[in-house]
Amino acid sequence: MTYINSKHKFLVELSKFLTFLTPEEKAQVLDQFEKIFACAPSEEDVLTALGSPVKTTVNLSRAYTAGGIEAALSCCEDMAGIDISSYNAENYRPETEKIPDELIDSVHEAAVAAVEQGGRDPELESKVSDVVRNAKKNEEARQELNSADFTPFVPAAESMPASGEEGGLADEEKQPEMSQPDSEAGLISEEKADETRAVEAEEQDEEILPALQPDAETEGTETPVSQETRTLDFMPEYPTEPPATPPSEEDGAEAGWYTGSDAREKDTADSEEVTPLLDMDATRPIQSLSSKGQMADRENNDGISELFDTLEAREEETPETVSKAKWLLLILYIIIAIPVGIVAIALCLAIAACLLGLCACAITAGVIATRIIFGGLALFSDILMAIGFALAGYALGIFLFIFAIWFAYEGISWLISSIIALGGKWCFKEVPVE
Amino acid sequence: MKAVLRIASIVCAALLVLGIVCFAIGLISGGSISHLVETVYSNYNVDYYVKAFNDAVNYFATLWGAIF
Repeated sequence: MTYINSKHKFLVELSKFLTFLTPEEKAQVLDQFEKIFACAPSEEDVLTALGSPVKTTVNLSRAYTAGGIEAALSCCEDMAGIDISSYNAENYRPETEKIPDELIDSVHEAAVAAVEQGGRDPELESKVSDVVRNAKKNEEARQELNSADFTPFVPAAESMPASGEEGGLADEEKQPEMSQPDSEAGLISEEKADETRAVEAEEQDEEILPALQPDAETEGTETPVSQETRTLDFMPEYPTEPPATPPSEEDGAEAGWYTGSDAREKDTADSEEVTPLLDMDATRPIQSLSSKGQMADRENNDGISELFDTLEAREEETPETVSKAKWLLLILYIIIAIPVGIVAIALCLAIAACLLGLCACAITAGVIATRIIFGGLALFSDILMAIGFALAGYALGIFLFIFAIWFAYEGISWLISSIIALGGKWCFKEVPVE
Repeated sequence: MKAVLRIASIVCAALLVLGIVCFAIGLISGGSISHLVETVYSNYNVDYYVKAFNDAVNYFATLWGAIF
């Protein structure tokens, strides 16, 4: 069993296995697990209770088969042993995605101090580097989630409609399973507060950072810390899965499915790039290939039928034959072949015996060398030579022994089969059946 | 059968290589074949075995000449 010690990894793995659910049901199940993780005292407890994603998937599948999505959702709670009735989405945000307020405040304080001093502040630069590092880390985590087509519970600001007034609430009616009435108000207000703070920070950064880092252009990507970085890194921005059959691209955009992160937009753009290729290049050849395949099948069928006809005709033409012994020649062959065969076999055995004798000599030499190692040599170099001689003797002995056995077995077998085959060839002939 | 032959061949080759390496190291580090021969001769009655071998060869040669 694969033990997963991270909520994200668990949910990513689980989302891969939930193929028996529709996208909406899958989102519901993952939402349920998000709630469970949020209400649990620790992730480890939930992960231990759930076990592996495969085991969870099996239980969910059984519950889903028995009672549908409702049973699967209740099964989630039962498996985790967590009661989510006390869940409050407004107070919940994953710790890994919280905005590090103290970090931002300290960065700004250090930046202001640096501007007042009129020079560069190493402390500020280190903190900026920390922010950028966290940003990269969160971006990697989000890309992993994107790659798994993961649809967790908390809808981010970017994954929801741009504003509630522009159709977000209407879209909730279209997607009731994705809506979270309890949490939405809190999330939007928190999101607005974060955006306001980020805009303020960016304004201050625009004033402060150019003065602090005159060589920012040469240092590349680490210098700018802007709203994009902040919101990109600390906001929960899970990609939401589009409905199975989105009405249209515009509708999907209005509904917020494709208005998520940059990565999501990039994925959408990629899919838009791929689709025309499939339409233009792939489908037509398939059609032509299918027609060509039918023609080829027809031709093959014709060829096979012709082949069978030819074979049947030949069978009718060729009369059946039977082997008939030439008795006189057979007796003469037996009289000659048996002593010749015996002599040949004896020769094989003699050669094998010689090989075995050599094997015995080699092993005896090895034994003698082994004995003088312990009995008659004083110099270490002589002992080494004796060891080498003994090992070589043993190796040669084993090799000769195996070769002798192989030679005797294969040689005698080959002799006997050759004599029999030669007798069959010389002493029998094929005659047609009358 | 082939598997047995393959394993035995590998074992033999390993032993042979190891023996050659040991022999070469001993020879390089000052060992002498004459020391080994002297030790063997001093521990075994080699002349007796040599004479027995020669007698056996002569016996089979005589037998071969008598048959053919």
